[in-house]
Amino acid sequence: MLSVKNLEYKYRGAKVNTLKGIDFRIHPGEIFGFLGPSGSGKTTIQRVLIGLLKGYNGSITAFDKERRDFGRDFYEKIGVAFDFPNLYLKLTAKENLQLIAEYYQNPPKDFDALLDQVGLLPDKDKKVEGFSKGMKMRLNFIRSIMHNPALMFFDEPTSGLDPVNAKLIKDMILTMKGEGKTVFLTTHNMTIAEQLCDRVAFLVDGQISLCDTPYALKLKYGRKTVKVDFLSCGTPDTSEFELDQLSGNQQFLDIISYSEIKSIHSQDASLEDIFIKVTGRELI
Amino acid sequence: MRLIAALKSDLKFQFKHGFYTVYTLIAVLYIIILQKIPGGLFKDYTLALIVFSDPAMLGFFFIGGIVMLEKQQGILDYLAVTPLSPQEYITSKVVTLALLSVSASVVIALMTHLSGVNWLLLTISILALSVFFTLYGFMVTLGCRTINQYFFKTVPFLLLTTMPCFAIFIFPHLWIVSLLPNVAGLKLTLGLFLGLPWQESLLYLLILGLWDIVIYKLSLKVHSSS
Repeated sequence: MLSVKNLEYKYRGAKVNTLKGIDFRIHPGEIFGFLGPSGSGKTTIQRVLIGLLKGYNGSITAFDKERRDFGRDFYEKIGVAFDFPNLYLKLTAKENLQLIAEYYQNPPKDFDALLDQVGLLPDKDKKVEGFSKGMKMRLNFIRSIMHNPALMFFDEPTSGLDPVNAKLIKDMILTMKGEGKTVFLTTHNMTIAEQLCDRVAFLVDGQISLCDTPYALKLKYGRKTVKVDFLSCGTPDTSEFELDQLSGNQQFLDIISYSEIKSIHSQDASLEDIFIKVTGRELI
Repeated sequence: MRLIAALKSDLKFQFKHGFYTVYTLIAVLYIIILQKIPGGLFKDYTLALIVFSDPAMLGFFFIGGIVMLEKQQGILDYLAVTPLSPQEYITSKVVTLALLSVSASVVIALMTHLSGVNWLLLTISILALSVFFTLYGFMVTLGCRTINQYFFKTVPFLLLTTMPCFAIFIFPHLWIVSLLPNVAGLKLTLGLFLGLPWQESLLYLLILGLWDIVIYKLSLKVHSSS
């Protein structure tokens, strides 16, 4: 679906490349996450892939064709939602969708149904200037997918959303994946990445430092221990045990046999822990 | 089809942001002022100068406001990732603002100068002038991030536009300045209300038409590289 080889990009007037030889491949029906702190090059790579930044070195192949050889028809096939709402503020939610929809060969037929999907149907005839950031982000999101694209680029898709609406958007992304759509997601939110992405790439200083499935990364970088919180003679206590030969660990067996257990957790590493461990950077 | 969609979108955007309301008020004001002036050479000159410096040039000012509003709302970024091409985007802006220019000019002239106007020539002339000034304003907006920055940047461009026009009053036989689009436009507009041989009108229209083509291509080039 999307293949990137030795991608380099330098801004006009800059002394060094912002993207320094990036390689990755996204398969059809995959959600691929690009993770990194602010300034790591996440937005740059997205803007190069969607054609907003021209003059890259290396190769970007999308839909079996080099990116620079596409005309405007490329935008019939992709959907883009930026991390900030970009809408006609003086127009209503429905007008915002209708005007943009007319630029596509495959426009949606039922705008009310689209707005209903993101909980904006009751506000369809209200001007967007009165919307909260969350409402604007939901409208932004639905507008990006209304022409049924095969490949989508989402930049921080749940930014500014409350937990209920963030879940709504995450569920919609997963539904699209179920329909065979491909998603390129850039975020610094590791929880979102963990919940949605089939594979993630860590981007630091314009280079990919690690790329794998969240599960494989957690296995590789997590501590293979289990932590038990319990009450010992009425006093709260905590112990940690190696997972290997746990069934033969007498101390562990005594605790779970004779103490009141409050919680037991395996000590998986979070993606954030792994990121910090691998890159030495915090995600800000 | 995309161009028609863009035209609809621009008309709606300009209407909702009050561009048409503002210009209707301005046109009414001009009509009231011109109706107070007794008929004669002075009125014809005043009408020609008003039509040249305002309805014909409104695109120069309005395009800045429109593009800046689109930038502030992030719409320019989003349009760049839709199938709408830069040609369609620019053409739509030029056509909608030319419609406003022509309508305003015709209404002002109709209400204040009932006889002796070649309406077809007036329409074509204002159209050609409007295209030039809108694209000229569009070039100024590129690179500006705020409305204030835009207004600041317009000053030298406006001087560049108006200064050569004075030349035709000081040196009426200096023909070379007529090759400039603003001077050709001013002579054409003066001729609309004061009379001008058709050959001369045609020549100025040709000059303007050529400038329109040049500035359209230049706008596209600058827009694509920005």
